[in-house]
Amino acid sequence: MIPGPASHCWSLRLFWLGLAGAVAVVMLLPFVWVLSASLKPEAVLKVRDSWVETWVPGRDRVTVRLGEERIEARRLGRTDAGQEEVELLEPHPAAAETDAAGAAGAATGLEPMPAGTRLAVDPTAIEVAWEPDFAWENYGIAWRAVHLGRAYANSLFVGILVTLGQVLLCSLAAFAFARLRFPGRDQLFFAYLATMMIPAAVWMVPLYAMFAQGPLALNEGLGTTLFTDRLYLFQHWEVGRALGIDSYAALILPGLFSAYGTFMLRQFFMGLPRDLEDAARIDGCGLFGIYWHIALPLSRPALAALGIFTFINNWKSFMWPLIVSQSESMRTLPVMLAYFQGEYNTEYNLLMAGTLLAMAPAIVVFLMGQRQFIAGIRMGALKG
Amino acid sequence: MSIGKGGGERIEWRAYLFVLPNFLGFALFVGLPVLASLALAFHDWDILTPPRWAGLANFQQLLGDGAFWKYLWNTLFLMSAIPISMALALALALLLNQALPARAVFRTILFLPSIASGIALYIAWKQFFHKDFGFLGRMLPAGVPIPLILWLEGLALCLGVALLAFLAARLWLDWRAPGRDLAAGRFLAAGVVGWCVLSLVLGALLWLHPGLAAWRAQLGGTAGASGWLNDPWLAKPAIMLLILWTTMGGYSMVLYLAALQNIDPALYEAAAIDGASPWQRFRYITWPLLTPTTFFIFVTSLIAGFQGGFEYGYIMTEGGPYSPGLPWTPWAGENLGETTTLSYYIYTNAYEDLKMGYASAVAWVLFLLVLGVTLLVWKYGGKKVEY
Repeated sequence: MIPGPASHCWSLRLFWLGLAGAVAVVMLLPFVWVLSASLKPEAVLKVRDSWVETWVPGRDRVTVRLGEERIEARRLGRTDAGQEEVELLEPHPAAAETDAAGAAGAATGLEPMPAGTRLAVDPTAIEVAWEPDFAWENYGIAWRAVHLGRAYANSLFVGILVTLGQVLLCSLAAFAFARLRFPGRDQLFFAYLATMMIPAAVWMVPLYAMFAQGPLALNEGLGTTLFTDRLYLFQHWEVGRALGIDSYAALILPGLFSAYGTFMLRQFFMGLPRDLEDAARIDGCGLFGIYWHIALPLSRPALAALGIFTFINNWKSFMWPLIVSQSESMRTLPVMLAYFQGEYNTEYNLLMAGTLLAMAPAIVVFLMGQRQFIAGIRMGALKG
Repeated sequence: MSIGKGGGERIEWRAYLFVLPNFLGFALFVGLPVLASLALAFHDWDILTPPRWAGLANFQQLLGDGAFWKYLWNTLFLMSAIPISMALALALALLLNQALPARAVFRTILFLPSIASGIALYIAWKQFFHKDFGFLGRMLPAGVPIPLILWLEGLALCLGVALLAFLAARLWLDWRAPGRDLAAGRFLAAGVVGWCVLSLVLGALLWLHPGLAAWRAQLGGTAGASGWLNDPWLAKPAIMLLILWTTMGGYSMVLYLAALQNIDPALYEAAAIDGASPWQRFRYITWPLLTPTTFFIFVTSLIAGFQGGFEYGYIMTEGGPYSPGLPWTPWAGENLGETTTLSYYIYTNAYEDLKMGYASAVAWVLFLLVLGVTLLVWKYGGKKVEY
């Protein structure tokens, strides 16, 4: 490792390139494995010795030799006589033209047989050969099997609202912390920073109790059942409860407030030039006007960074959604996947198709907003 | 951190309106629950009946709770991946800092694991470790020799002890002889030497002493033939491998790369003129200038590390491999808890056993641990940081 100026020796550069390539392969290999497993036609993955057969999706094609031809078939088991019972998957002869069939039948001494015929053959007549086979339908099956559509919609809905809300609320507070002077400002900001150190486990227990008991108390106090009733959109789509466990409120509200976001935007706002602000003030622009027309447009990169960051983190968040969603229709994608794993833990191809579908949006958002995202990481850490 | 220069001249009372929505949310969803959690820690509560005052009983129970200490140890053990991950991140950043073609592509690929990490990826990794069709599980048809695992774990242990000794010495010096300098490198070297001596002595003793034949038989075998995550010896190393894969190209690497690109190339040119070797350039220019970044990454990783472990515990191992045992023995199928961390313990206490009070007590102890360690590192590590 030679830090500093670029080396001009080509063999060394080739070496670095090779090393980086090797690391990239290590990083990508698991993704390739997931992709490969998700396209396999077999529900229970088979142990295969060949390297190609392990990594390329495929299946074993069983054929029976009948006369001159090999006919695809399915094995049914052994008979008592030591023969193998098979079910033909295609008609014999394979070229199902009647005149040719008659000729072929005459040549081998066998009657033409339609697909689905069962017959017992000598084990030596059976041949098993591997062939590549990509089961694209796995994605559709996985999607339908556990209502991934609803989970996707939940995750998107929660993610977008949390992202918008957090960017708005954090930028408001960050604007005040960075640009205005008020008593208690520094103490308050320090308290914000300190909350970043509190483990989620500390506030999750009482917060869960709050969301579980709060609506009941409200119901009792106001003499209604409104806060625990399940709500339906257009009397058809269930949208959870109004408050408490199994509500969008429980999934969204705690995520709206972020010390990290406030901290990051404050760092950015502090670097904005003061002249524009003063000019706006002279032109009669109010405080909110300065925030809305000057500070926000100028900090678009920082807002984008925080937005992408928040969305991706929310997409992955697991513990809190797991705790507050009980009915299936209120699960977010990670929670649904965890249940999926419990139900389909032997159908690995579907499991892997599901995980790939779940990972995809976060990866797409990252690839699209990569520059802002990486700039955001640097921004947040610059003056830690 | 200087806050003063950001403010205007006049006190602006309307500023409170800007902070209020955020502050109210924080008060309701963080502040109030944190205080409630502190109160709950002194109560017994199963959420169904009203809480009962328990005094210090929860904390007393915690001190005598063997499971708590075991899970604390598990948490610390998994956190030993942090320095390895940081070293790898630095190495990767140095690699990407070379004149590489398509550097942005490499950076994207390296960052992918930390973006995609989460439940989906943990489900996939669980399959990777499967003995039959996971590509990692298949790598070890005969398993890993247990002595090798012990030997590597010994290294982590010795380095950890060296770090603790360094912190203790630092504390003592601060108290008795403030201002004295203390070289961390010597403690590190002592740790490595200690590891070599220890492994030689213990190894020789175990292999030659006739009285230890039973131990020898037990420790001479291999682990992992039934899949990594099913094996009490290999479950933790497997999880560490996952942690390394997800974190080494992620946030720390990006931060290191940014810091490297901020270093003035003139420094290296001057050093090259003076005939400094590549190692010297790294040791005397790069490393000192990276100290703030290293420190930042270390502190944030520590905070995250103490809280970690719930997601992969829940998805991959349910907290630890189950004892295979023999079907008729009482301990067959018992959860060995090898990969249960404190945050997972809090979860099972609160939401599975409905022991909200005890869960809160554990959560507060975890919080105090995080706070204590962070402050300690801040005080004694922050000193050497060159801004």
